[in-house]
Amino acid sequence: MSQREENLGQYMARRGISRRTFLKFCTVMGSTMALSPAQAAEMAETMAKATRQSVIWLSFQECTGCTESITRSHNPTLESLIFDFISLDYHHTLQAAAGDAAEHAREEAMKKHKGKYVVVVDGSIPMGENAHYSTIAGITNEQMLRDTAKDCFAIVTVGTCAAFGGIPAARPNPTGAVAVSDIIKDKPIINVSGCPPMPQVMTGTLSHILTFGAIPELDHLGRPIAFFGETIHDRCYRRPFYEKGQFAKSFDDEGARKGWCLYEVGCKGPTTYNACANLKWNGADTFPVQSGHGCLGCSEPNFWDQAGGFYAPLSVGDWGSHEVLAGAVVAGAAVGAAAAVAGRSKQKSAHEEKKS
Amino acid sequence: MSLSDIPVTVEPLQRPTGMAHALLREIADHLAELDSTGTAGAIDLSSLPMNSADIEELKALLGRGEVEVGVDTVGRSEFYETTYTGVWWASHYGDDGSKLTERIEITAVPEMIKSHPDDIRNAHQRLRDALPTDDQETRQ
Amino acid sequence: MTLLEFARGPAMEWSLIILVAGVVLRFAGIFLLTRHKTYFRTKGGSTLAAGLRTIGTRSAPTPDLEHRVRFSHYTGYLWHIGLFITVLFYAPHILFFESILGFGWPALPTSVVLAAAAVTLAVLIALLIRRMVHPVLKTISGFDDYASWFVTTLPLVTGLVAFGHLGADFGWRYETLLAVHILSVELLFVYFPFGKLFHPFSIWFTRYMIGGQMEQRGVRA
Repeated sequence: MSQREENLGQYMARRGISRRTFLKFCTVMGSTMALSPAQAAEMAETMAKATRQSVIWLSFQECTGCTESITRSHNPTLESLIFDFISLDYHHTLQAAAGDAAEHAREEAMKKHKGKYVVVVDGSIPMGENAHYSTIAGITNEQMLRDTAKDCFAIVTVGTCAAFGGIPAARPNPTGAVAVSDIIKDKPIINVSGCPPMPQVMTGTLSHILTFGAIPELDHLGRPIAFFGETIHDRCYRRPFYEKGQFAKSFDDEGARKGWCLYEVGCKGPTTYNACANLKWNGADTFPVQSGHGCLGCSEPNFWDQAGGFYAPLSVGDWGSHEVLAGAVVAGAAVGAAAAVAGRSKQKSAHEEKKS
Repeated sequence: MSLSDIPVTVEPLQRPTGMAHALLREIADHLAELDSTGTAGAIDLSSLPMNSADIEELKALLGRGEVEVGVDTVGRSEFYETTYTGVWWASHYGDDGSKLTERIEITAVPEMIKSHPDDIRNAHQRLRDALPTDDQETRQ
Repeated sequence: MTLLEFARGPAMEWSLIILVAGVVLRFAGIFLLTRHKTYFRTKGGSTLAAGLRTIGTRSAPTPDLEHRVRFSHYTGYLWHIGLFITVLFYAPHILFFESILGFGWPALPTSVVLAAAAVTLAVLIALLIRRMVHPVLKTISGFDDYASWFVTTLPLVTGLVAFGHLGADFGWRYETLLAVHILSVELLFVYFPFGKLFHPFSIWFTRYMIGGQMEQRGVRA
């Protein structure tokens, strides 16, 4: 029996992964995905009987932070087991093959699993200079995305770069970077945004596709609602301080030491949808706000270019500059004076008319 | 330097919210179903807005029964039956000891404790492979 | 560009430009068009003292009329104070002013501000209803009166909705509610210099000037 045709259960038996381990994975994933708690065992049975989902992972204009997040968060995490449960047919950071052999593996997987494979994309796609800013094996990122997406079942974008353009697309966007959704219009796209995204969210989203063979429920930005349904602020343990109006004014004042709300030092928690505040990072230990820094809003579009920057409170906008307002004063005075002069001369002529 | 060296303190807001008592009703409903139809149920505690005081209260209300099982797989999973037979408390930890999820399982034996038929078949195969072959036996 | 980015960016910048230019324009017009020549024989006496006195006397109802204007006068005070607290003493608002002025001031507890905002809104609604049913008020009310009410009340409503995260049931997300709140304030900024809402800038010196002029004519003001 060839490796590709065995089902996941047989694969696990061969690799010495016990069904208890698998059930634990499904239990924890089911919990993070907010599935009905009784579904875990059922999910495990369904997945075990299916062949391993073919996944082609395309890395474009990116920093590999997303791959780091899922593989190296700490070792061996439950989340990283996902790499055993899928058939990762192409991932040029993780695969052993290189050059022609690697590209050949991609093409073979595309042919063999036509219409069924999932494409994971991390990194944005540069469109400037005929898309030649980034190429792999002589193929532009744009071309590789179009070719690979053509016969896929769905696309999962991993990271804010692939989902919304991210840092490469930040002003002035020298490479003309765009998101996957700007190029591919005819395939379902699941955006797993974040810089990097949470490992549980990446794994949970892939697990959902593996279990149900369907796309999870998405928000208006194409993100799975199970993870992106609430803001950081909604689930923040510092929320009571916000309600009471107790704010840290700087990063080393009394309020910061007491763990008060970081709204005034620029926390973007109220407008950022992600699961950091409840799932937490580094083995469920902490998340940025808990470590004393406000949320940057990394799972939202254009987070790098937001008005006022990372440390401007949400209520403060990009209101221009004092010079511009001084200009407005001068302009206002000039128009006002002109109107007054016109009014005066009118008054005067009316007065003279009356007299004559 | 550890986390406790960083001078950040958070005012505790940990008073039981009454969630534990509400959950007892749900557990009772699941237990009734297990009794009448044999259908197992589960409640995911980590998805509920429960603080640590609520968890402690629920633990105290359910008590500890006769059985305790530990499973070591990518971190530990611990199960114990509460004083209410058929109601199990399940805690799953990561390999670094961090708590991943906590559940109440209403069932005769939690699924993860049972040996899976596929694993049994696999074990049988492995044991067969480990047995000395007839050939080896005759040589001895 | 999302709605929030628009509200916090270009819309904010332009509304402030219009506000500042508009206020200066109005002032320039008023000062340059003020008639300095008098066409009557003056009574003499201190214009300064009379002007200052009028600023004070107009802050309370005229004794003769008090029983008739009591309601509108004191409800007026109530919601102005409420609005003052809401606008100037809510922590996120102070941050906004601080970003422009370069200095801030202590905030009041959120619960106090919330109560002030709720009272203000309730009084504003009551006053609008009164304006619409009171025969005299109805007759003398024009577009500017209703428009001024609208652009003043809208930020209060949108602010309370955003604060309470209301509207989640209708699928309105917080960033949208916040953007709508900021946009409603920007509408207020834009309308501010061009109607009766200009009064916070003009009230003190118009009272002063009326006081002085009336004194010259021998009229109690």
